[in-house]
Amino acid sequence: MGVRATVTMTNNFGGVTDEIERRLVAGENKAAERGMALAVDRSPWDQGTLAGAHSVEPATDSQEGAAIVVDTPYATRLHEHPEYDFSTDANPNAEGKWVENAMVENRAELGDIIRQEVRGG
Amino acid sequence: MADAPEIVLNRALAQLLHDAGLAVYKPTGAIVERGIRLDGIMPTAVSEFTLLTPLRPIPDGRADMTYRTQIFTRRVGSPLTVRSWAADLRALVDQQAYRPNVLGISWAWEFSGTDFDPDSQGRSAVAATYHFRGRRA
Repeated sequence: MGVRATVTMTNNFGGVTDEIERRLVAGENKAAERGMALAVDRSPWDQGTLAGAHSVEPATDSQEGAAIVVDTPYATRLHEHPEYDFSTDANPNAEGKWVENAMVENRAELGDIIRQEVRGG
Repeated sequence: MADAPEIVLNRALAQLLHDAGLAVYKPTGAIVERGIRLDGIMPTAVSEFTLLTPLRPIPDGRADMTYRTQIFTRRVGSPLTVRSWAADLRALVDQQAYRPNVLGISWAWEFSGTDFDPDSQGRSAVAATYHFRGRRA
């Protein structure tokens, strides 16, 4: 009569990956909030309407990600004219491409925010 | 004083677009239809034009630099007209190696883009931002 031994391990991989996914989503949302603050700091400013129109659409899953939205009819046109000489009276940092520049130039910081959140804060 | 690297890049880009028939690059003289400019704002004297605006380069590691340029083009017609132009530009530059062959550029890609509905004079526009991974100059 042969002897048969079975090796098994009880694991909780499903729970672990769910937790990582939850932290990743939270990290993306925190990074988007920080990105929005960096963008507002560079937005053109007349009466503050444009700066006040920034918001974050939070991520619900990590693949989709979070979004920074500037919801005014003229936001895209201003954003895509980096050659404009924006007034710096109210905001000395005002420039075109303010969202894109803020995100690209600070990608290391934004990445660190996500990484720190995934690691558990 | 030597030209800034982003000016060197945009000059090469303008020549590339000229050679591909996407724009007319004349470094000196009057602005022409379908012309291209490396500085200033979109001219009002012509209907169709391309403006290259350098964006701040991003240092990448010890020796590399990501150069960035926005290519803004206006053409008479519907947004489909400028979208076709943007598609031709994409075929020329996006996901290409050593193009243009300056500043040690090894790879280029379209980073963002959008198009604009016709203005009151029936001119649509497209804005495309390209990134170029090159060496620090």
